[in-house]
Amino acid sequence: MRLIYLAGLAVLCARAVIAPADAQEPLPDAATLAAAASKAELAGHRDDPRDFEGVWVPASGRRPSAAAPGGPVIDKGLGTPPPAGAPQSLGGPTLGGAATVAASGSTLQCTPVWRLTGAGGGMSNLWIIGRHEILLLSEEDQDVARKIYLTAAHPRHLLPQPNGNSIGHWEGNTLVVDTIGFGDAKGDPIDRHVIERIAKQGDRLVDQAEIFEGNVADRRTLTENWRPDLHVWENVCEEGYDRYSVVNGKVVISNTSPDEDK
Amino acid sequence: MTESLGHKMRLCGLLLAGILLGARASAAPDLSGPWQIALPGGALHTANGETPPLLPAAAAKYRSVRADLRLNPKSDPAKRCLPPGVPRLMMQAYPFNLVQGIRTIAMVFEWNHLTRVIYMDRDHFDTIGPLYLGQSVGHWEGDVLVVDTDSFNDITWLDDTGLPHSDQLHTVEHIRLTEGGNALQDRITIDDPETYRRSWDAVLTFQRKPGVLINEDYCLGRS
Repeated sequence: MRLIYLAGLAVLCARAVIAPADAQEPLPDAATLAAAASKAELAGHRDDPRDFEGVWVPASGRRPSAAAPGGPVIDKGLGTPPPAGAPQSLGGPTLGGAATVAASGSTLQCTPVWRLTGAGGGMSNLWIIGRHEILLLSEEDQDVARKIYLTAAHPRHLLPQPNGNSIGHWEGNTLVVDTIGFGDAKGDPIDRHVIERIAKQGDRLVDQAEIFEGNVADRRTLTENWRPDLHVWENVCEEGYDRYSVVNGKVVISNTSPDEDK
Repeated sequence: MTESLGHKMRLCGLLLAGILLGARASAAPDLSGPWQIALPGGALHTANGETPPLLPAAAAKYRSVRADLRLNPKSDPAKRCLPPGVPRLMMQAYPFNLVQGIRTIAMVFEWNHLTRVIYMDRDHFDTIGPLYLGQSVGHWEGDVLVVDTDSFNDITWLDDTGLPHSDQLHTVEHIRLTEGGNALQDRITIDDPETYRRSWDAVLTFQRKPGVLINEDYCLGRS
């Protein structure tokens, strides 16, 4: 990418040198050029088949509200009201004329629920960040943050947790994700093993999953569309005071504050 | 004419050299991985160890909050599972993972599975918020990650003692690796003209926690 940029810069310079003085546009300063290089570099990553970063919305359209551009910032519980002047209904005008917001769905309970692909299940918006360690954020189910560690093996001692432990590796441009170590909200293990093959196909993200639960095997294919115009904002669940947390390697359900737990 | 041509060529050469040097210098350090505050909780002080310069009304509010907190610890919004805000969230005795993307950087906190996202490829949104964690945009200045955050609500506290802020809070953080990459220093400039007489700096230090997994942590529903 840098070479392409430098080649472009060289062309600009050549034009500046050979063009008649009265036809020249002023040369941009170094800071402007550096900023342009940065933008060009960023644009280059958008064409990278291993670059999953961005907001993805279900191709199925099963959650149109979640995918609607221009929706308000919505919080749950006693959350923050939408900003003054912001559109109050989904599908409203673009906020600020520049950004649009993927509005939160409405989950009435704050309990962790596992669904395929970062709790997306093909039904909610997904925000992917990172490359060496990959983070899948789902705006549904309390902004579940599912981490995919690009390491060779699962940790030896896994604590059963709602989203399990995910490790991934690249096979060509396909991210292969292996997830084990599932548990319910009480910390009891769930016999589930999920293998996903996630790849970009143009502006779509396709997740082909094999799910093994006990003796039952299931296959699902989920497709989400890339939406660079959407952004997901915080989604706060303040329903109860009880807490599912991990203290000294054990799941603890408590109604004390987390800092008291630890 | 010859002189003008030579001048242009020199200018182009300088620009190309500058870009090459800039590209080398812009190689951002890798901050990714698990981190945790070195000294969790407690009161936030200025970088000089002084009490933050509260305005009189804010100081009165702070006294009232602390009195309430002594009588009823659950008057603390964070004990109702609300996001503790910035920088308080980073001061909790929980690890967080820095996920360093191309256009975004995420701080993935174990504390109630909260995530703070820093946009690296754009300016602030015009109309967003108010939000518990604000909206953050960042850029690299050499090997320092500079994070600018605004659009806060006024529900959160700056620290566990109830240090207040208004929705005019604006923070600028300069985050850099120290101690050979084993520590992360976050110098936070806090500007809130409705609460403080002047802007002030606080310094937080995080320690790298190799091998630590970020566990799942949820506030549960009652139903």
